[in-house]
Amino acid sequence: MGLIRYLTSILLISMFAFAIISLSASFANNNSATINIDDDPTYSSLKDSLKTDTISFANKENDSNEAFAQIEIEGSGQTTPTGGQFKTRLTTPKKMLSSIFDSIRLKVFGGDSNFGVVLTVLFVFIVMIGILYVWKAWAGRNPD
Amino acid sequence: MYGKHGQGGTQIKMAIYTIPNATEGMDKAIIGIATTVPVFVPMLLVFVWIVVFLGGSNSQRKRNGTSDMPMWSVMASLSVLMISLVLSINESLMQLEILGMVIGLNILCAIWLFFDRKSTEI
Repeated sequence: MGLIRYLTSILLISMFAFAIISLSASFANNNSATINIDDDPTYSSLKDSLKTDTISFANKENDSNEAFAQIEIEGSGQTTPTGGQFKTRLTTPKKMLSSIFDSIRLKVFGGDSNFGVVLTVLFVFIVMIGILYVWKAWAGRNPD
Repeated sequence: MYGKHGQGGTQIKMAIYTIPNATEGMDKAIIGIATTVPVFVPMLLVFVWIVVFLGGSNSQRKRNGTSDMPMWSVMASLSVLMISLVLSINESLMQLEILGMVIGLNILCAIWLFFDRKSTEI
């Protein structure tokens, strides 16, 4: 029962709920359905709340990603102080992949901002797991 | 076919609801059934959920020896959601409460699925 397992479970449950509600609402809007889940105040507020939380998660992860690139730890026999050989591999390609994800979102999901949130957060989550593993490999211990 | 009195006998059959006119199209017939018997659509969705869940998990157990029940519960819930979304186009077939329950069931099964995954190192 580790940090990554809890984070994965909670984040994927949130993303799943957000995607299901968005899909139902989009289906109803696109097909002029008489029954629209957006008319349900409970699910409508849940969707807004999840969207706010996930965007906040992505922003915080960006901040911690920048902070990770700046940190140094005290060198010892097995560690290097800057860890540049690990950090470059994660921080630089992240910006390249963002544009690829934008293109996929436009072509597959038609530019719907709701699904953009899902893709962005899943991508950010994958990067975050990478950072956690890099930290473990670099510092030789689990993150605090 | 001829009733208990045999050919030429008489038997009175009383329908418990007005039989829909199928000549107007299958959709009208289904709407007629759903209007007369409101539990028809929820029971149909429950039937689909059980068939997908039990069928899928039993089939996997036959092949692999084990079955991933959380995954099949999500698959069954998604199947039901797809049917519900199509039915929600017409007001007579689906109510907002039923659609809300289906989405709640999806989220509940997803919680079961995602908390059932194996642990990782960190």
